[in-house]
Amino acid sequence: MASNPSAGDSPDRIETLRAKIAAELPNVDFVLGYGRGFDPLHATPVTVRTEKDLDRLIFDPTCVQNLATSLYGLRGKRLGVVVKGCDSRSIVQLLQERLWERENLVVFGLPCEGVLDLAKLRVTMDIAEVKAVRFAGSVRDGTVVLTLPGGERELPSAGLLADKCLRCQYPNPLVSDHLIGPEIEPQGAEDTYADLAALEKLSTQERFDFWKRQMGRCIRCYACRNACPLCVCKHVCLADSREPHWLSAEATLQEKWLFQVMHALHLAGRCTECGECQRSCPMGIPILLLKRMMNRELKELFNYQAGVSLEAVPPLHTFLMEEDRIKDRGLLW
Amino acid sequence: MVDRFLKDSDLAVVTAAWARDFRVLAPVREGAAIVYRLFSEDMHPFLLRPPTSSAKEAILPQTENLFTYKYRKDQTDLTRTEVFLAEALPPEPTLILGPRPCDARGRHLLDRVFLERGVVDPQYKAHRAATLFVTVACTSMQNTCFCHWTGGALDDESGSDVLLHPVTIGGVGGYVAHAVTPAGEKLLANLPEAPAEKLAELAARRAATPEPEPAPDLAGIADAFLAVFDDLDFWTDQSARCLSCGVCTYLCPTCSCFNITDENHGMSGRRLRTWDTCMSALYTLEGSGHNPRISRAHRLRNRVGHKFSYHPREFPEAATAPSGCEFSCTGCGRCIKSCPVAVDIRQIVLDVLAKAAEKAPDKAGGAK
Amino acid sequence: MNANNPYIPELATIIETFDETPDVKTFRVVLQDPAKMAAFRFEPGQVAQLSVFGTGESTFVICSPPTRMEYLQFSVMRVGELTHRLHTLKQGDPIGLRAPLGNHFPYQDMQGKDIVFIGGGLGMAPLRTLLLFMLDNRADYGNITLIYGGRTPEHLCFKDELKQWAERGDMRVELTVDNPDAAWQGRTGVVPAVLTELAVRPENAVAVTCGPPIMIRFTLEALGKLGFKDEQIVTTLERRMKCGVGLCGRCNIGEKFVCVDGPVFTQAQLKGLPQEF
Repeated sequence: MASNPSAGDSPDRIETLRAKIAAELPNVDFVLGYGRGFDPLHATPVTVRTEKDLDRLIFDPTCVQNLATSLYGLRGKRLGVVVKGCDSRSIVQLLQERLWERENLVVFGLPCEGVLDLAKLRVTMDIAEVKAVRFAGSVRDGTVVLTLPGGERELPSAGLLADKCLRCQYPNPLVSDHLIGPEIEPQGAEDTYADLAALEKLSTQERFDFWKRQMGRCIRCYACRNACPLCVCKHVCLADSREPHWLSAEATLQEKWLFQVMHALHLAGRCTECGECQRSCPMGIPILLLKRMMNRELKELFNYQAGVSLEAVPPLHTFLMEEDRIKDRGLLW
Repeated sequence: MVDRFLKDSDLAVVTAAWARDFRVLAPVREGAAIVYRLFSEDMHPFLLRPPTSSAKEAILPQTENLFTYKYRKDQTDLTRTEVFLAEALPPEPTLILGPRPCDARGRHLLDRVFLERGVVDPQYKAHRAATLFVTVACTSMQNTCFCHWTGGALDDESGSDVLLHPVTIGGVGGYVAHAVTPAGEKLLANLPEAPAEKLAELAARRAATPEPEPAPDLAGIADAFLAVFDDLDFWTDQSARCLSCGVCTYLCPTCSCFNITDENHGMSGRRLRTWDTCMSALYTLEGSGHNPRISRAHRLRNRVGHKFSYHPREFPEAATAPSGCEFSCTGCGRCIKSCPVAVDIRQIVLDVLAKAAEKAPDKAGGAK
Repeated sequence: MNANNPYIPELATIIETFDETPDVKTFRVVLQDPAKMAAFRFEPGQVAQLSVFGTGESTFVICSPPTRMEYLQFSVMRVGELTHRLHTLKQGDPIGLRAPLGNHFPYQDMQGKDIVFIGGGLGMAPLRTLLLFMLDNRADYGNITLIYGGRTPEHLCFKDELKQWAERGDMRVELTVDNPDAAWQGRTGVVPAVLTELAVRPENAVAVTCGPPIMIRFTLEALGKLGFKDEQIVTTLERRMKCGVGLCGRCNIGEKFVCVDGPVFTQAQLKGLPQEF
């Protein structure tokens, strides 16, 4: 495949990244980073084993995947991984839950201003026609210039960034062995959960109909589950379990919905809203809403956000005799 | 058989007429996806882009009863139990509107498995006989399309009953409707003949359609794959990004692997056939706990191998240009487009050829 | 098999069931339709998918020979969902049966040759069908040797028959266990070691071996050292199976399907497949 141009990050930063990785190659089995995918808008995870793999590395707003997802399946190895701010929260969470040994991980942290949401781009064009992409100005305030068969189209970046970027409070990786590039001031707006409010304005019946329509498209591919960095059950997932038998194999609404609810609940206190679940869905089902709803409750009940503090314990992994925000009304049993 | 003309503005009405005799599946936009839904009068089928999923659900449903069973205590001797089985009902006549030529060609590859390999699958056979494909020809290739690598083309008729060629110039947009089979001709009987200028427009468009980048020489891929089979480092690198989900499999027009499970409800229940994916970690897990495909490397290797090596080796007489062999792949590109981590099977195939050539540089084309 | 629909099991009834070992049970079944039972034909080595409706299906070798058709025998180890459920069934209970599936032992090619059976644990089940078939056609075969072992004396299957076979006089039986008990009078040691010690000769011989993977591995090494060629070694392959008729795609190794092209393979055939075991 011809290499697809997508000028994004500064050449200096890429060079620094490559140099840092090169220096660590003798210490790890391999490094997970981003490479160019099949077109200028798609990045793809790449494994860097030797110096000649370094040229494949890129970093720009097309690098949407959360490389922390690959980690748990590779435990036992000594790995390097390239992370953005949001990805680093998954690493923090994995470390918090002792699902990975810190000494077996070399983290290359890249402060990030935001990534493109291809779903937003698809609204205005056939993204398969894009021949080249470049970013003019800063990722936040500048533009994305797309080369199409009919000529160039320039669009404000802010309208194309993923929603999670618009509310991002952690642009700088929270854990890293090598921080590459200058730290960035958080530019995200405060999360007002406006997307949930829109749903909550609907009546219960309307909301039910909304989810019936959305989940009806689900094909039970489990991309959402497998893309989640905290989903470590893998092949002993309850969705596949026959003993006990939670879900039938039927592709009906009940089974699809039950899986999503169970999945969200299993992530309570662990989900960092990296959004990979929703991004991975081939049918465009807005399942991140479920996790955001849950995270909003957790914020209210426990004043807790996952993947922010290495020392924290997820609230549902422990209990306190007295909770600050839960009034038990002084009842004694 | 004369070509007909289907006006775009008549599409809903014509589809509704078909829906009187058939269960019609038509594509509609829902969010970012284009999905097949059971046709209803208020629906205007969306035919401008290929649907997100393939059309195989029309002839190989995602979930299907193989049979139902019922246990009953013998009333004369309550220690004895009897069981009764009932086969599934035959399918309704079905029409699927909106597949692309790459989807329709998938029918033949499914036929290989369910009708031609050995034992005939009666439910697939019944679905196949009961289903008509009204396919929309493509006017251009997307950057994930590679149908011509596998012997397909933008206007390939294979597997279709009707092929709708978009014609959009001159105010009245619509389709030159070409009947491929007698059943297709019946569907079009009430449509007007295509006017000469529309036929001319179609001919001109087809003549002007640019040739795609030439397909690589895949004649040796089946052997090249076997030459690279044992290189687990190669497959580990190819699969490191893979999420082991089912997107590629379930959206693919030719993937047909299925699971059989019993779903019990008290004294009765059913045995289901459901789509399964060889990418799943559980796929080959044995009762003893042993798993011959324990890693994603093993599983991705099997997927690529099945499509580009095992299938052509199983059906060597099914020669398809340009490679001279038939792959279990129609080049629709859905696996590339919808893969969350942008696994590109085209690149894997090229890498296999390159790796095989590396291992045996004196052999032409990397074949061993 | 249901001629019209390969997925529909025939109904059968369990006429007898008893323990072979702490985790292996033998089931003897007859088809509920007497005409179908009378017309049922199979070859030694072929398998069946046994159904417990509501739980599922699993593959088991028909471990009785086609020369003894009063019933079909299956010896089942309790390892997973279906086998746990199967082990709770009793005489008189109905089950489903899809059979015969797969290929069979190439017994025609073995005629006139010396046969060496090498089994471990429940690997004796497929060997039993071929052994009994050969004993019922004794004149067609040369010397017959059975080398069979288990973890302990308790883990040996078909204990009564082992005694009978040893006493027949027209075959040789060598039993061994890894861990003997006080009453054990036979050999101690692993099956491959006994094979080596007996120094079985490869001339005009065929080795048929089934058992746990580790036993197979060392048995193949031992057979190789004794001079057995790959074409002279026959074994059966395990694989997760569902449809049993080559349609669901699950049991493929390369373009072969274990449920159709196997489960019986010679070592030569196995070496020709992509090595994915």
